Amino acid sequence: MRSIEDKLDERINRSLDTIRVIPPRNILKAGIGREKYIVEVKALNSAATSDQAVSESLLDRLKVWIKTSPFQLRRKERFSMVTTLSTLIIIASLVFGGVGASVYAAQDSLPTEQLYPLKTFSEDLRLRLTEQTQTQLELALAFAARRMGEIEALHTSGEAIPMEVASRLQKHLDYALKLAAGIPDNQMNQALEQIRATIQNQEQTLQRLQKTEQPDPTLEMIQEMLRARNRVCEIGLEDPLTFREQMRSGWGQSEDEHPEQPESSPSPGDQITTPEPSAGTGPNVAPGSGEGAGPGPGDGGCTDCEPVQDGSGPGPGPNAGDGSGQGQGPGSGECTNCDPVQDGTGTGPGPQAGGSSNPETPGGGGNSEGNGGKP
Amino acid sequence: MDSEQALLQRAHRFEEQALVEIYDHFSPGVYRYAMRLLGCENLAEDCVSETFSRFLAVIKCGNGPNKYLQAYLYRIAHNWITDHYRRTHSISWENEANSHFDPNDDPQQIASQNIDGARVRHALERLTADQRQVIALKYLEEWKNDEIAEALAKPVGAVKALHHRAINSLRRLLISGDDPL
Repeated sequence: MRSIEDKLDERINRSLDTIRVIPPRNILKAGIGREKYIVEVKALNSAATSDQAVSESLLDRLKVWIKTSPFQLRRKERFSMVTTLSTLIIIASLVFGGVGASVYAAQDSLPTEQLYPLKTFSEDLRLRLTEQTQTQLELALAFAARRMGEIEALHTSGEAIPMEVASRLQKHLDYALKLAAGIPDNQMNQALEQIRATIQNQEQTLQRLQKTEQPDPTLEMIQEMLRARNRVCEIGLEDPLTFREQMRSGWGQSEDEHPEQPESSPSPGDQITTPEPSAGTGPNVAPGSGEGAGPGPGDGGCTDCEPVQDGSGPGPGPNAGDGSGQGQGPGSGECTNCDPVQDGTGTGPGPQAGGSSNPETPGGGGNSEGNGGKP
Repeated sequence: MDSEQALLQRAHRFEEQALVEIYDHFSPGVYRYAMRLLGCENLAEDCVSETFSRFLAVIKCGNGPNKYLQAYLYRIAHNWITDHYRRTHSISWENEANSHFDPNDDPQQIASQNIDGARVRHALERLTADQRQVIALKYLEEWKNDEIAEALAKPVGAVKALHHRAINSLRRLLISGDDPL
Protein backbone atom coordinates (compact mmCIF):
# COMPACT_ATOMS: atom_id res chain seq x y z
CA MET A 1 0.00 0.00 0.00
CA ARG A 2 2.83 2.29 0.76
CA SER A 3 4.28 1.87 -2.70
CA ILE A 4 0.96 2.68 -4.24
CA GLU A 5 0.44 5.66 -2.04
CA ASP A 6 3.87 6.90 -2.93
CA LYS A 7 2.66 7.38 -6.44
CA LEU A 8 -0.03 9.73 -5.28
CA ASP A 9 0.44 13.26 -4.39
CA GLU A 10 0.10 14.10 -0.76
CA ARG A 11 -2.82 16.25 -1.56
CA ILE A 12 -4.64 13.51 -3.38
CA ASN A 13 -3.87 11.17 -0.57
CA ARG A 14 -5.19 13.59 1.96
CA SER A 15 -8.28 14.14 -0.15
CA LEU A 16 -8.98 10.44 -0.24
CA ASP A 17 -8.49 10.29 3.50
CA THR A 18 -11.51 12.53 3.86
CA ILE A 19 -13.75 9.82 2.41
CA ARG A 20 -11.75 6.83 3.65
CA VAL A 21 -12.89 7.36 7.19
CA ILE A 22 -16.62 6.82 7.52
CA PRO A 23 -18.80 7.04 10.57
CA PRO A 24 -19.96 3.81 12.19
CA ARG A 25 -22.94 2.14 10.60
CA ASN A 26 -26.32 2.79 12.14
CA ILE A 27 -27.19 -0.45 13.88
CA LEU A 28 -30.90 0.11 13.57
CA LYS A 29 -30.74 0.76 9.84
CA ALA A 30 -28.37 -2.13 9.37
CA GLY A 31 -30.78 -4.39 11.30
CA ILE A 32 -33.69 -3.22 9.23
CA GLY A 33 -31.74 -3.88 6.04
CA ARG A 34 -30.87 -7.37 7.29
CA GLU A 35 -34.46 -8.15 8.15
CA LYS A 36 -35.56 -6.99 4.75
CA TYR A 37 -32.99 -9.27 3.18
CA ILE A 38 -34.12 -12.29 5.21
CA VAL A 39 -37.73 -11.64 4.34
CA GLU A 40 -36.77 -11.46 0.69
CA VAL A 41 -34.85 -14.73 0.99
CA LYS A 42 -37.85 -16.45 2.55
CA ALA A 43 -40.16 -15.03 -0.06
CA LEU A 44 -37.99 -16.23 -2.90
CA ASN A 45 -37.53 -19.58 -1.23
CA SER A 46 -41.26 -20.11 -0.90
CA ALA A 47 -41.73 -18.86 -4.44
CA ALA A 48 -39.18 -21.38 -5.62
CA THR A 49 -41.03 -24.13 -3.76
CA SER A 50 -44.37 -23.04 -5.13
CA ASP A 51 -42.92 -22.82 -8.61
CA GLN A 52 -42.18 -26.50 -8.39
CA ALA A 53 -45.81 -27.21 -7.59
CA VAL A 54 -47.07 -25.22 -10.53
CA SER A 55 -47.42 -27.18 -13.73
CA GLU A 56 -44.88 -26.51 -16.38
CA SER A 57 -45.74 -24.99 -19.67
CA LEU A 58 -47.80 -26.93 -22.14
CA LEU A 59 -44.81 -27.65 -24.38
CA ASP A 60 -42.69 -28.81 -21.45
CA ARG A 61 -45.48 -31.02 -20.18
CA LEU A 62 -45.89 -32.49 -23.66
CA LYS A 63 -42.20 -33.26 -23.85
CA VAL A 64 -42.24 -34.85 -20.41
CA TRP A 65 -45.32 -36.83 -21.29
CA ILE A 66 -43.75 -38.12 -24.50
CA LYS A 67 -40.61 -39.10 -22.65
CA THR A 68 -42.19 -40.65 -19.59
CA SER A 69 -45.47 -42.05 -20.77
CA PRO A 70 -45.15 -45.84 -20.72
CA PHE A 71 -47.67 -46.18 -23.50
CA GLN A 72 -45.88 -43.76 -25.74
CA LEU A 73 -42.48 -45.19 -24.93
CA ARG A 74 -43.46 -48.74 -25.53
CA ARG A 75 -45.33 -47.90 -28.62
CA LYS A 76 -42.45 -45.91 -29.97
CA GLU A 77 -39.88 -48.53 -29.01
CA ARG A 78 -41.97 -51.35 -30.29
CA PHE A 79 -42.87 -49.65 -33.48
CA SER A 80 -39.86 -50.69 -35.54
CA MET A 81 -39.82 -54.17 -34.05
CA VAL A 82 -43.53 -54.61 -34.54
CA THR A 83 -43.14 -53.53 -38.10
CA THR A 84 -40.60 -56.24 -38.75
CA LEU A 85 -42.47 -58.89 -36.87
CA SER A 86 -45.81 -57.95 -38.27
CA THR A 87 -44.36 -57.94 -41.75
CA LEU A 88 -43.00 -61.43 -41.28
CA ILE A 89 -46.25 -62.62 -39.78
CA ILE A 90 -48.28 -61.12 -42.57
CA ILE A 91 -46.03 -62.63 -45.21
CA ALA A 92 -46.10 -66.01 -43.51
CA SER A 93 -49.85 -65.82 -43.17
CA LEU A 94 -50.29 -64.89 -46.78
CA VAL A 95 -47.90 -67.54 -48.05
CA PHE A 96 -48.61 -70.47 -45.80
CA GLY A 97 -52.11 -69.53 -44.81
CA GLY A 98 -53.08 -68.75 -48.36
CA VAL A 99 -51.50 -71.87 -49.76
CA GLY A 100 -52.96 -73.94 -46.98
CA ALA A 101 -56.40 -72.58 -47.65
CA SER A 102 -55.98 -73.12 -51.35
CA VAL A 103 -54.79 -76.69 -50.86
CA TYR A 104 -57.65 -77.35 -48.52
CA ALA A 105 -60.09 -75.95 -51.03
CA ALA A 106 -58.52 -78.01 -53.79
CA GLN A 107 -59.16 -81.31 -52.06
CA ASP A 108 -62.69 -81.47 -53.37
CA SER A 109 -61.85 -80.28 -56.85
CA LEU A 110 -62.42 -82.33 -59.96
CA PRO A 111 -59.97 -82.80 -62.84
CA THR A 112 -61.82 -80.23 -64.88
CA GLU A 113 -61.34 -77.56 -62.25
CA GLN A 114 -58.41 -75.21 -61.92
CA LEU A 115 -57.44 -76.29 -58.44
CA TYR A 116 -57.04 -79.93 -59.43
CA PRO A 117 -53.30 -79.70 -60.13
CA LEU A 118 -52.87 -78.38 -56.62
CA LYS A 119 -54.79 -81.36 -55.33
CA THR A 120 -52.58 -83.88 -57.12
CA PHE A 121 -49.48 -81.94 -56.10
CA SER A 122 -50.47 -82.07 -52.46
CA GLU A 123 -51.11 -85.82 -52.78
CA ASP A 124 -47.69 -86.45 -54.27
CA LEU A 125 -46.16 -84.26 -51.59
CA ARG A 126 -47.86 -86.24 -48.87
CA LEU A 127 -46.62 -89.48 -50.34
CA ARG A 128 -43.10 -88.11 -50.61
CA LEU A 129 -43.08 -86.89 -47.04
CA THR A 130 -44.44 -90.14 -45.67
CA GLU A 131 -41.75 -92.53 -44.50
CA GLN A 132 -43.61 -95.58 -43.28
CA THR A 133 -44.42 -98.10 -45.99
CA GLN A 134 -47.76 -99.04 -44.55
CA THR A 135 -48.84 -95.42 -44.45
CA GLN A 136 -47.64 -94.93 -47.98
CA LEU A 137 -49.65 -97.94 -49.06
CA GLU A 138 -52.79 -96.66 -47.38
CA LEU A 139 -52.28 -93.24 -48.91
CA ALA A 140 -51.81 -94.72 -52.38
CA LEU A 141 -55.00 -96.73 -52.05
CA ALA A 142 -56.85 -93.73 -50.66
CA PHE A 143 -55.70 -91.66 -53.60
CA ALA A 144 -56.73 -94.44 -55.97
CA ALA A 145 -60.17 -94.36 -54.36
CA ARG A 146 -60.20 -90.61 -54.90
CA ARG A 147 -59.47 -91.09 -58.56
CA MET A 148 -62.28 -93.51 -58.87
CA GLY A 149 -64.55 -91.07 -57.10
CA GLU A 150 -63.51 -88.42 -59.58
CA ILE A 151 -64.15 -90.76 -62.48
CA GLU A 152 -67.58 -91.55 -61.09
CA ALA A 153 -68.35 -87.87 -60.56
CA LEU A 154 -67.23 -86.90 -64.03
CA HIS A 155 -69.07 -89.79 -65.62
CA THR A 156 -72.21 -89.01 -63.69
CA SER A 157 -72.10 -85.38 -64.73
CA GLY A 158 -71.64 -86.42 -68.31
CA GLU A 159 -68.18 -85.00 -68.67
CA ALA A 160 -65.35 -86.75 -70.43
CA ILE A 161 -62.88 -88.50 -68.24
CA PRO A 162 -59.40 -87.09 -68.77
CA MET A 163 -56.70 -89.61 -69.38
CA GLU A 164 -54.75 -88.04 -66.56
CA VAL A 165 -57.20 -89.41 -64.03
CA ALA A 166 -56.97 -92.92 -65.40
CA SER A 167 -53.22 -92.64 -65.59
CA ARG A 168 -52.97 -91.45 -62.01
CA LEU A 169 -55.26 -94.27 -60.89
CA GLN A 170 -52.94 -96.75 -62.53
CA LYS A 171 -49.94 -95.12 -60.93
CA HIS A 172 -51.51 -95.26 -57.50
CA LEU A 173 -52.24 -98.96 -57.85
CA ASP A 174 -48.84 -99.79 -59.32
CA TYR A 175 -47.18 -97.86 -56.54
CA ALA A 176 -49.19 -99.79 -53.97
CA LEU A 177 -48.18 -103.08 -55.60
CA LYS A 178 -44.55 -102.05 -55.60
CA LEU A 179 -44.77 -101.16 -51.93
CA ALA A 180 -46.36 -104.53 -51.20
CA ALA A 181 -43.54 -106.30 -52.96
CA GLY A 182 -40.99 -104.67 -50.70
CA ILE A 183 -42.40 -105.75 -47.36
CA PRO A 184 -42.22 -109.14 -45.60
CA ASP A 185 -44.50 -111.95 -46.71
CA ASN A 186 -47.00 -111.78 -43.90
CA GLN A 187 -47.44 -108.07 -44.32
CA MET A 188 -47.35 -108.39 -48.08
CA ASN A 189 -50.35 -110.70 -48.09
CA GLN A 190 -52.27 -108.24 -46.02
CA ALA A 191 -51.25 -105.39 -48.28
CA LEU A 192 -52.22 -107.34 -51.39
CA GLU A 193 -55.59 -108.10 -49.84
CA GLN A 194 -56.09 -104.39 -49.30
CA ILE A 195 -55.08 -103.63 -52.86
CA ARG A 196 -57.28 -106.32 -54.25
CA ALA A 197 -60.23 -105.13 -52.18
CA THR A 198 -59.72 -101.63 -53.48
CA ILE A 199 -59.46 -102.84 -57.03
CA GLN A 200 -62.56 -104.97 -56.68
CA ASN A 201 -64.51 -102.06 -55.30
CA GLN A 202 -63.39 -99.97 -58.20
CA GLU A 203 -64.33 -102.70 -60.67
CA GLN A 204 -67.78 -102.84 -59.12
CA THR A 205 -68.06 -99.10 -59.45
CA LEU A 206 -67.07 -99.25 -63.08
CA GLN A 207 -69.52 -102.03 -63.73
CA ARG A 208 -72.26 -100.03 -62.15
CA LEU A 209 -71.38 -97.02 -64.25
CA GLN A 210 -71.30 -99.03 -67.45
CA LYS A 211 -74.69 -100.57 -66.74
CA THR A 212 -76.41 -97.27 -66.64
CA GLU A 213 -74.70 -95.62 -69.51
CA GLN A 214 -73.53 -96.54 -72.92
CA PRO A 215 -70.21 -98.27 -73.05
CA ASP A 216 -67.44 -95.77 -72.50
CA PRO A 217 -64.10 -96.74 -74.03
CA THR A 218 -62.24 -94.96 -71.27
CA LEU A 219 -64.10 -96.86 -68.63
CA GLU A 220 -63.46 -100.10 -70.45
CA MET A 221 -59.79 -99.30 -70.61
CA ILE A 222 -59.73 -98.54 -66.93
CA GLN A 223 -61.58 -101.71 -66.20
CA GLU A 224 -59.07 -103.71 -68.18
CA MET A 225 -56.26 -102.05 -66.26
CA LEU A 226 -57.95 -102.95 -63.00
CA ARG A 227 -58.32 -106.56 -64.07
CA ALA A 228 -54.63 -106.80 -64.81
CA ARG A 229 -53.74 -105.41 -61.37
CA ASN A 230 -56.19 -107.76 -59.77
CA ARG A 231 -54.49 -110.69 -61.43
CA VAL A 232 -51.13 -109.48 -60.16
CA CYS A 233 -52.55 -109.36 -56.68
CA GLU A 234 -53.76 -112.92 -56.99
CA ILE A 235 -50.34 -114.01 -58.17
CA GLY A 236 -48.76 -112.27 -55.23
CA LEU A 237 -51.05 -113.95 -52.82
CA GLU A 238 -50.34 -117.36 -54.30
CA ASP A 239 -46.64 -117.02 -55.06
CA PRO A 240 -44.96 -114.15 -53.25
CA LEU A 241 -41.56 -114.97 -54.70
CA THR A 242 -42.75 -114.72 -58.25
CA PHE A 243 -44.64 -111.57 -57.41
CA ARG A 244 -41.54 -109.95 -56.00
CA GLU A 245 -39.51 -110.87 -59.03
CA GLN A 246 -42.18 -109.52 -61.25
CA MET A 247 -42.26 -106.26 -59.39
CA ARG A 248 -38.50 -106.09 -59.34
CA SER A 249 -38.36 -106.62 -63.05
CA GLY A 250 -40.11 -103.38 -63.59
CA TRP A 251 -43.69 -104.39 -64.00
CA GLY A 252 -45.76 -101.33 -64.38
CA GLN A 253 -43.45 -98.75 -65.77
CA SER A 254 -45.20 -95.89 -64.15
CA GLU A 255 -44.76 -97.05 -60.65
CA ASP A 256 -41.34 -95.55 -60.11
CA GLU A 257 -42.56 -92.24 -61.29
CA HIS A 258 -45.40 -92.07 -58.85
CA PRO A 259 -44.21 -89.83 -56.16
CA GLU A 260 -41.81 -87.78 -58.17
CA GLN A 261 -43.80 -86.79 -61.21
CA PRO A 262 -47.11 -85.31 -60.37
CA GLU A 263 -48.92 -84.57 -63.53
CA SER A 264 -50.44 -81.23 -63.43
CA SER A 265 -52.35 -81.24 -66.67
CA PRO A 266 -54.05 -83.80 -68.74
CA SER A 267 -52.04 -84.99 -71.64
CA PRO A 268 -53.72 -86.39 -74.63
CA GLY A 269 -50.83 -88.70 -75.08
CA ASP A 270 -51.34 -90.36 -71.77
CA GLN A 271 -51.98 -94.00 -72.09
CA ILE A 272 -52.78 -96.38 -69.39
CA THR A 273 -50.90 -99.59 -69.69
CA THR A 274 -52.33 -102.92 -69.02
CA PRO A 275 -49.29 -105.09 -68.79
CA GLU A 276 -50.11 -108.70 -68.73
CA PRO A 277 -48.57 -110.48 -65.88
CA SER A 278 -45.93 -112.92 -67.08
CA ALA A 279 -47.59 -116.22 -66.85
CA GLY A 280 -44.51 -118.22 -67.60
CA THR A 281 -42.83 -117.64 -64.32
CA GLY A 282 -44.75 -119.92 -62.12
CA PRO A 283 -45.35 -123.52 -61.83
CA ASN A 284 -49.04 -123.22 -62.60
CA VAL A 285 -48.62 -121.24 -65.69
CA ALA A 286 -49.63 -122.91 -68.85
CA PRO A 287 -46.74 -123.68 -71.12
CA GLY A 288 -46.13 -121.16 -73.79
CA SER A 289 -48.62 -118.64 -72.53
CA GLY A 290 -46.20 -116.19 -71.15
CA GLU A 291 -44.97 -113.10 -72.78
CA GLY A 292 -41.98 -111.66 -71.19
CA ALA A 293 -42.53 -108.18 -69.99
CA GLY A 294 -38.95 -107.52 -69.12
CA PRO A 295 -36.73 -104.93 -70.57
CA GLY A 296 -35.95 -107.26 -73.35
CA PRO A 297 -32.66 -108.00 -74.93
CA GLY A 298 -29.90 -105.81 -73.97
CA ASP A 299 -26.92 -104.75 -75.90
CA GLY A 300 -24.62 -107.10 -74.16
CA GLY A 301 -22.21 -104.38 -73.52
CA CYS A 302 -21.07 -105.75 -70.24
CA THR A 303 -17.35 -105.32 -70.18
CA ASP A 304 -16.47 -105.54 -66.54
CA CYS A 305 -18.76 -108.02 -65.03
CA GLU A 306 -18.14 -111.61 -64.48
CA PRO A 307 -21.39 -113.29 -65.10
CA VAL A 308 -21.97 -116.26 -62.99
CA GLN A 309 -24.69 -118.26 -64.44
CA ASP A 310 -25.11 -120.66 -61.69
CA GLY A 311 -28.77 -120.92 -62.31
CA SER A 312 -29.56 -119.64 -58.88
CA GLY A 313 -32.34 -117.44 -60.15
CA PRO A 314 -35.89 -118.29 -59.35
CA GLY A 315 -36.60 -119.66 -62.69
CA PRO A 316 -39.64 -121.47 -63.75
CA GLY A 317 -40.27 -125.01 -62.98
CA PRO A 318 -40.07 -127.96 -65.21
CA ASN A 319 -43.23 -127.03 -66.99
CA ALA A 320 -41.80 -123.86 -68.20
CA GLY A 321 -39.85 -125.42 -70.90
CA ASP A 322 -41.79 -123.56 -73.48
CA GLY A 323 -41.86 -120.72 -71.13
CA SER A 324 -41.72 -117.22 -72.01
CA GLY A 325 -39.95 -116.13 -68.90
CA GLN A 326 -38.69 -112.67 -68.65
CA GLY A 327 -35.29 -112.10 -69.92
CA GLN A 328 -33.70 -109.53 -67.76
CA GLY A 329 -30.16 -109.51 -68.88
CA PRO A 330 -28.57 -107.57 -71.61
CA GLY A 331 -28.69 -110.72 -73.68
CA SER A 332 -26.52 -109.64 -76.52
CA GLY A 333 -23.81 -112.03 -75.56
CA GLU A 334 -21.25 -109.63 -76.78
CA CYS A 335 -19.39 -109.56 -73.55
CA THR A 336 -15.85 -110.57 -74.33
CA ASN A 337 -14.30 -109.94 -70.99
CA CYS A 338 -16.50 -112.09 -68.92
CA ASP A 339 -15.55 -115.41 -67.70
CA PRO A 340 -18.76 -117.23 -67.57
CA VAL A 341 -19.02 -119.78 -64.91
CA GLN A 342 -21.40 -122.47 -65.84
CA ASP A 343 -21.35 -124.64 -62.87
CA GLY A 344 -25.04 -125.38 -63.11
CA THR A 345 -25.26 -125.80 -59.40
CA GLY A 346 -28.20 -123.56 -58.92
CA THR A 347 -31.83 -124.31 -58.87
CA GLY A 348 -32.44 -122.50 -62.03
CA PRO A 349 -34.30 -123.49 -65.04
CA GLY A 350 -33.65 -126.54 -67.00
CA PRO A 351 -32.11 -126.82 -70.37
CA GLN A 352 -35.14 -125.34 -71.97
CA ALA A 353 -35.17 -122.35 -69.79
CA GLY A 354 -34.42 -119.09 -71.37
CA GLY A 355 -31.46 -118.40 -69.17
CA SER A 356 -28.97 -119.26 -71.77
CA SER A 357 -25.52 -119.68 -70.55
CA ASN A 358 -24.05 -118.82 -73.83
CA PRO A 359 -23.13 -115.24 -73.74
CA GLU A 360 -23.06 -115.08 -77.47
CA THR A 361 -26.69 -115.98 -77.78
CA PRO A 362 -28.69 -112.86 -78.51
CA GLY A 363 -31.57 -112.43 -76.18
CA GLY A 364 -30.09 -114.91 -73.84
CA GLY A 365 -29.68 -114.37 -70.20
CA GLY A 366 -26.42 -112.64 -70.28
CA ASN A 367 -27.35 -111.54 -66.88
CA SER A 368 -25.97 -113.83 -64.32
CA GLU A 369 -29.32 -113.90 -62.69
CA GLY A 370 -31.17 -114.88 -65.75
CA ASN A 371 -34.45 -116.12 -64.57
CA GLY A 372 -35.79 -117.74 -67.57
CA GLY A 373 -35.27 -115.55 -70.52
CA LYS A 374 -37.05 -116.19 -73.67
CA PRO A 375 -35.24 -118.99 -75.43
CA MET B 1 -18.32 -19.71 7.95
CA ASP B 2 -17.57 -22.23 5.27
CA SER B 3 -15.16 -21.45 2.51
CA GLU B 4 -16.43 -19.01 -0.06
CA GLN B 5 -16.89 -21.73 -2.67
CA ALA B 6 -18.79 -24.05 -0.33
CA LEU B 7 -20.93 -21.13 0.73
CA LEU B 8 -21.70 -20.32 -2.86
CA GLN B 9 -22.69 -23.91 -3.56
CA ARG B 10 -25.14 -23.77 -0.69
CA ALA B 11 -26.38 -20.41 -1.92
CA HIS B 12 -27.03 -21.91 -5.35
CA ARG B 13 -29.21 -24.46 -3.61
CA PHE B 14 -30.95 -21.42 -2.10
CA GLU B 15 -30.25 -22.48 1.46
CA GLU B 16 -31.49 -19.72 3.73
CA GLN B 17 -28.71 -20.16 6.22
CA ALA B 18 -26.02 -19.74 3.60
CA LEU B 19 -27.68 -16.68 2.16
CA VAL B 20 -27.89 -15.05 5.59
CA GLU B 21 -24.26 -15.92 6.23
CA ILE B 22 -23.28 -14.22 2.98
CA TYR B 23 -25.19 -11.12 3.98
CA ASP B 24 -23.68 -10.97 7.43
CA HIS B 25 -20.18 -11.47 6.06
CA PHE B 26 -20.17 -9.16 3.05
CA SER B 27 -22.78 -6.48 3.78
CA PRO B 28 -20.49 -4.37 6.07
CA GLY B 29 -17.86 -4.12 3.34
CA VAL B 30 -20.45 -3.25 0.71
CA TYR B 31 -21.89 -0.62 3.04
CA ARG B 32 -18.45 0.83 3.69
CA TYR B 33 -17.68 0.90 -0.02
CA ALA B 34 -20.98 2.57 -0.85
CA MET B 35 -20.65 4.99 2.03
CA ARG B 36 -17.21 6.09 0.92
CA LEU B 37 -18.35 6.75 -2.60
CA LEU B 38 -21.79 8.15 -1.85
CA GLY B 39 -21.16 9.88 1.46
CA CYS B 40 -24.72 9.16 2.65
CA GLU B 41 -25.67 6.34 4.99
CA ASN B 42 -29.20 6.17 3.62
CA LEU B 43 -27.92 5.78 0.08
CA ALA B 44 -25.34 3.33 1.31
CA GLU B 45 -28.05 1.26 2.99
CA ASP B 46 -30.09 1.43 -0.18
CA CYS B 47 -27.04 0.32 -2.12
CA VAL B 48 -26.50 -2.62 0.24
CA SER B 49 -30.13 -3.60 0.07
CA GLU B 50 -30.24 -3.39 -3.70
CA THR B 51 -26.93 -5.20 -4.09
CA PHE B 52 -28.04 -8.20 -2.09
CA SER B 53 -31.50 -8.15 -3.64
CA ARG B 54 -29.95 -8.40 -7.11
CA PHE B 55 -27.70 -11.15 -5.84
CA LEU B 56 -30.72 -13.14 -4.63
CA ALA B 57 -32.47 -12.69 -7.95
CA VAL B 58 -29.46 -13.93 -9.85
CA ILE B 59 -28.99 -16.91 -7.56
CA LYS B 60 -32.65 -17.83 -7.83
CA CYS B 61 -32.38 -17.90 -11.62
CA GLY B 62 -29.56 -20.42 -11.33
CA ASN B 63 -26.89 -17.99 -12.40
CA GLY B 64 -24.40 -16.09 -10.34
CA PRO B 65 -20.76 -16.65 -9.53
CA ASN B 66 -19.14 -19.90 -8.53
CA LYS B 67 -16.18 -18.04 -7.00
CA TYR B 68 -14.97 -14.52 -6.19
CA LEU B 69 -18.23 -13.72 -4.44
CA GLN B 70 -16.85 -10.57 -2.85
CA ALA B 71 -15.75 -9.16 -6.18
CA TYR B 72 -19.14 -10.03 -7.62
CA LEU B 73 -20.99 -8.19 -4.84
CA TYR B 74 -18.77 -5.15 -5.12
CA ARG B 75 -19.34 -5.05 -8.86
CA ILE B 76 -23.08 -5.00 -8.28
CA ALA B 77 -22.70 -2.25 -5.73
CA HIS B 78 -20.46 -0.24 -7.99
CA ASN B 79 -22.91 -0.55 -10.87
CA TRP B 80 -25.66 0.66 -8.58
CA ILE B 81 -23.53 3.62 -7.52
CA THR B 82 -22.70 4.43 -11.11
CA ASP B 83 -26.36 4.34 -11.97
CA HIS B 84 -26.97 6.64 -9.03
CA TYR B 85 -24.37 9.05 -10.33
CA ARG B 86 -26.06 9.05 -13.69
CA ARG B 87 -29.44 9.65 -12.15
CA THR B 88 -28.40 12.51 -9.88
CA HIS B 89 -25.58 13.92 -12.00
CA SER B 90 -23.72 15.14 -8.93
CA ILE B 91 -23.05 14.52 -5.31
CA SER B 92 -25.42 16.73 -3.42
CA TRP B 93 -24.45 18.66 -0.39
CA GLU B 94 -27.46 17.19 1.24
CA ASN B 95 -25.76 13.86 1.28
CA GLU B 96 -22.89 15.36 3.15
CA ALA B 97 -25.28 17.00 5.58
CA ASN B 98 -26.91 13.68 6.32
CA SER B 99 -23.63 12.17 7.24
CA HIS B 100 -22.74 11.37 10.80
CA PHE B 101 -22.69 14.43 13.00
CA ASP B 102 -20.96 14.47 16.33
CA PRO B 103 -22.02 17.45 18.45
CA ASN B 104 -18.63 17.46 20.16
CA ASP B 105 -16.76 18.10 16.94
CA ASP B 106 -15.81 21.51 15.76
CA PRO B 107 -18.49 22.66 13.34
CA GLN B 108 -15.97 24.46 11.21
CA GLN B 109 -13.84 21.38 11.00
CA ILE B 110 -16.86 19.29 10.18
CA ALA B 111 -17.87 21.69 7.48
CA SER B 112 -14.38 21.68 6.07
CA GLN B 113 -14.29 17.91 6.05
CA ASN B 114 -17.64 17.78 4.35
CA ILE B 115 -16.46 20.16 1.71
CA ASP B 116 -13.28 18.20 1.11
CA GLY B 117 -15.19 14.95 1.00
CA ALA B 118 -17.72 16.29 -1.43
CA ARG B 119 -14.92 17.64 -3.58
CA VAL B 120 -13.16 14.29 -3.69
CA ARG B 121 -16.33 12.39 -4.41
CA HIS B 122 -17.16 14.82 -7.12
CA ALA B 123 -13.74 14.26 -8.63
CA LEU B 124 -14.32 10.55 -8.47
CA GLU B 125 -17.65 11.04 -10.14
CA ARG B 126 -15.84 12.70 -13.00
CA LEU B 127 -13.81 9.61 -13.59
CA THR B 128 -15.05 6.80 -15.74
CA ALA B 129 -16.85 4.00 -13.95
CA ASP B 130 -13.92 1.62 -14.25
CA GLN B 131 -11.37 4.23 -13.20
CA ARG B 132 -13.51 5.18 -10.23
CA GLN B 133 -13.85 1.55 -9.20
CA VAL B 134 -10.13 0.98 -9.50
CA ILE B 135 -9.37 4.00 -7.30
CA ALA B 136 -12.05 3.09 -4.77
CA LEU B 137 -11.05 -0.52 -4.50
CA LYS B 138 -7.31 0.15 -4.56
CA TYR B 139 -7.03 3.15 -2.23
CA LEU B 140 -10.15 2.98 -0.14
CA GLU B 141 -10.70 -0.81 0.14
CA GLU B 142 -7.02 -1.66 -0.31
CA TRP B 143 -7.60 -4.53 -2.72
CA LYS B 144 -4.89 -6.08 -4.81
CA ASN B 145 -4.82 -5.78 -8.58
CA ASP B 146 -6.00 -9.37 -9.19
CA GLU B 147 -8.96 -8.87 -6.88
CA ILE B 148 -9.83 -5.66 -8.67
CA ALA B 149 -9.50 -7.47 -11.96
CA GLU B 150 -12.10 -10.01 -10.76
CA ALA B 151 -14.42 -7.26 -9.65
CA LEU B 152 -14.12 -5.49 -12.98
CA ALA B 153 -14.06 -8.73 -14.96
CA LYS B 154 -10.98 -7.44 -16.73
CA PRO B 155 -7.39 -8.65 -16.97
CA VAL B 156 -4.84 -7.35 -14.51
CA GLY B 157 -3.05 -5.42 -17.24
CA ALA B 158 -6.21 -3.52 -18.02
CA VAL B 159 -6.61 -2.74 -14.32
CA LYS B 160 -3.09 -1.28 -14.22
CA ALA B 161 -3.83 0.85 -17.25
CA LEU B 162 -7.07 2.04 -15.68
CA HIS B 163 -5.18 2.80 -12.49
CA HIS B 164 -2.62 4.93 -14.31
CA ARG B 165 -5.21 6.91 -16.19
CA ALA B 166 -7.34 7.35 -13.03
CA ILE B 167 -4.42 8.87 -11.06
CA ASN B 168 -3.65 11.30 -13.85
CA SER B 169 -7.29 12.31 -13.98
CA LEU B 170 -7.48 12.77 -10.21
CA ARG B 171 -4.27 14.82 -10.24
CA ARG B 172 -5.74 17.01 -12.88
CA LEU B 173 -9.06 17.30 -11.08
CA LEU B 174 -7.88 17.72 -7.50
CA ILE B 175 -4.49 19.45 -7.81
CA SER B 176 -4.45 21.25 -11.12
CA GLY B 177 -7.75 22.89 -10.33
CA ASP B 178 -9.67 21.49 -13.24
CA ASP B 179 -12.34 20.43 -10.78
CA PRO B 180 -15.33 22.58 -11.59
CA LEU B 181 -16.48 22.43 -8.02
